[in-house]
Amino acid sequence: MTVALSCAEARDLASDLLDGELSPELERAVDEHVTGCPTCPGLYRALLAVHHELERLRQEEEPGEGGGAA
Amino acid sequence: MLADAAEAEDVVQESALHALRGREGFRSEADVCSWFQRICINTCREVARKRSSEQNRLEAARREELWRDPGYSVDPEAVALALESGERLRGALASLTPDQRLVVVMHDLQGWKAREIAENSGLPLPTVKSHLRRGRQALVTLLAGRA
Repeated sequence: MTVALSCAEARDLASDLLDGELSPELERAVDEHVTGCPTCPGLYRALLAVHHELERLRQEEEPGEGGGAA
Repeated sequence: MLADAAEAEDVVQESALHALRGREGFRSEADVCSWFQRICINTCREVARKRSSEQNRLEAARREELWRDPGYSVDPEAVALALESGERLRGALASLTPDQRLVVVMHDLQGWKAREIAENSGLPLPTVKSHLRRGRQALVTLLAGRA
């Protein structure tokens, strides 16, 4: 059985999902919420777009580096 | 992380002074680069916090409130369009709270891990993760044109 999430919970977890930090169960829960919600899909797609753009800029800045400073 | 290159230079100079003053506290077995990096990060936070206004904090709270509203959404196409302008993205980053900006820049633009940011900034890991979530959400709101 999947965990039922509120919009606020799913929106917070969506950020963790982008970083690959969620358990499979929570990933499923976010996915199910976003699929069935009238408002969250737009926010999720926008978060994804911002994430991809920042990632693109990072790769542009540091060609050949795998990330992780310090 | 900061307003401009001149401010960044000031931070480096200020950090060097901090490092000189605090050199007694440096343990010889520690990595000098990591030690100085921590000083720079904390000086950045200090400078950005001083510059941040009450208005900036109120606007951030308002954006967080929007994301808790189940009826809130944005047009992802509008955000994608805004992302095509580097200026819009820079403006949105500049509108984040100092700690949100620090964490988003270090994590998403410089490739630091959340754990590394926590270790080097003195912020607890859950706080770093919270700033990352709120910062990304705020970027979406700002780029969508609703702040």
